[in-house]
Amino acid sequence: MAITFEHVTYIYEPDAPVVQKVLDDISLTIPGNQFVGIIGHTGSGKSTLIQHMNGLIKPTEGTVKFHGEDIWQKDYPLRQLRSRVGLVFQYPEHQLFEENVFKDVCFGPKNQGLTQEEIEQRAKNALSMVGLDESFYKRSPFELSGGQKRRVAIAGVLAMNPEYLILDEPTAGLDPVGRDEILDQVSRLQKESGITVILVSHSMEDVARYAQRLIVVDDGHIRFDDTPRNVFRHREELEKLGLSAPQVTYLAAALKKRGFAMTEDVTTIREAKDAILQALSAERENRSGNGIQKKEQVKTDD
Amino acid sequence: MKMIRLFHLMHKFEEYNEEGNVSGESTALDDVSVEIEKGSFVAVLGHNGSGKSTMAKHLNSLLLPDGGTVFIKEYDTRDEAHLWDIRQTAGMVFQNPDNQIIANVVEEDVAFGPENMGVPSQEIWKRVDESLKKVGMAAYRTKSPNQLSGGQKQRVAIAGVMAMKPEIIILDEPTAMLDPVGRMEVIRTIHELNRLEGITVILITHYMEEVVDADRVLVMDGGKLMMDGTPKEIFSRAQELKKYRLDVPQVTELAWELKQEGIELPDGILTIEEFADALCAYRDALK
Repeated sequence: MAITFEHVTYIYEPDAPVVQKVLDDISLTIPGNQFVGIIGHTGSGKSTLIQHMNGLIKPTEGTVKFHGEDIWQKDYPLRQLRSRVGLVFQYPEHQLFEENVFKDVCFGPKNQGLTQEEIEQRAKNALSMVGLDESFYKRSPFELSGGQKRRVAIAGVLAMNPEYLILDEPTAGLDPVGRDEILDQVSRLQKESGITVILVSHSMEDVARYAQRLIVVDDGHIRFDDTPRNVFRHREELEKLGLSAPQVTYLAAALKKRGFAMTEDVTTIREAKDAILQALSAERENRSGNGIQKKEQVKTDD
Repeated sequence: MKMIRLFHLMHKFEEYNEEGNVSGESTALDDVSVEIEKGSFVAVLGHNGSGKSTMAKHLNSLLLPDGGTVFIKEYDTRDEAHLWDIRQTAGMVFQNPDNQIIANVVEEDVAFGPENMGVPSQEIWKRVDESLKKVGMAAYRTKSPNQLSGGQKQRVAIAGVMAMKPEIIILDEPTAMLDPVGRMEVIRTIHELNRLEGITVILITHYMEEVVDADRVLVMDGGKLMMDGTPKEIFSRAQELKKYRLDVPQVTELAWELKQEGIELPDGILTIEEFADALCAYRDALK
């Protein structure tokens, strides 16, 4: 089970005098049951990349496979693919249109040829997955808050029972609590149902906290593809790519510079807390006895 | 000198039923009073729907009060005779750069505002020059906006406002759609305009780290002004902020977490530097 890219190149307007490769020879495998983060500056190609995953864009060269089958071969059921690989666009609340929340979420499964009963069951499950209870069913999407609207839009995609859920900056413009609510719910959903979540984000803090794997896109290439911890070791390179590392990663580096015997491999608040507590207890031991010997140890660690 | 004065500002929105008839009213701003000093950098925080964007729209007569009064300098925003004085004094920058850029060349986009104001063309080009320099985009003068990054587009939008020689710039989530470096560029630019040009800045944002260098932070909830203080004062009240669906910067939260473990750090740590200083002081006091 996987989405596979084999040497995928995408050229915007191949006949233009100056050929611009939006994606340049990308090979990539995204298996099931993963939480993947994708980061890259504006215009890096990450939106084009995710739109290849459910066949919204056809590669100029190379092959995109879903579960081993070329999605651009003749007679491949592309429509079905789009419900198995669900894509939630930026500002998805602009796409809500039904008169109430429940109907809006039913829209996707309705087009999958299910019975009315199945459709409603799907919608109920999807809404409960994003934390919206029955009191929301009959409300107009337009009277909801920004975060609630966005959850309705995500539920609309979940109701199609996708195996992959791609979210393009799902938290842009939301307040901090709204951001946490959505990402906590998506993360819980990922763990419970085993679907793969692909989160495109400009928040380094968010991908550090939720993703198991982090892909860095730049200029149509994949620059890094590793755990967040390993990717955020490359702070300076990331900055050159228009990105950064979480604030606590910079803090860990600053503390190390000021003589704390601690790791820089810190990407979340929890990790930072553990690292600092450890460094402080080392410090206490250090002071309460053979100080000189310990000091030398710290030096050699450097 | 007070640049902005809000006295008991009220704003109501009409609610519509399914047939499209008015079915009720909701209060978006509820008795907001605040005065803002010339040259200050004020950040406005609040969850989605708290009323902060509505308030911003009152600052250049895009919305008019249902009760109370808004003064921009000496102008009452309801005074139509001064509408253009108000709009020229208080420029707005919005969230999505692509909705704000209209021309095909950067310099033309920046010239659009002063052109509309009837500024003589000699003077317009001088202003375009100066404004692009101020936001660090002079090298892109003849480029197409399509070739720019999000952060660069936002800086062009800011230059467009600067070319009208405003005294106040109001930015409504100007970084929500930008990558980290774009965000930094925009925040740095508006701090420079504030410091070097004396522009009064009203920055609405959901990113707590962007607020730490402001002179003053206003927190809104339910259309009311709930908190008003320096960043240090505001972020020392983390529990209260959570109640308003807000947050604190990562280092502030980390300091709080460590305090729970018995590490005595001062309240309201806002930056990496402050954190490192405080932790060094703690370490040096260890016996």
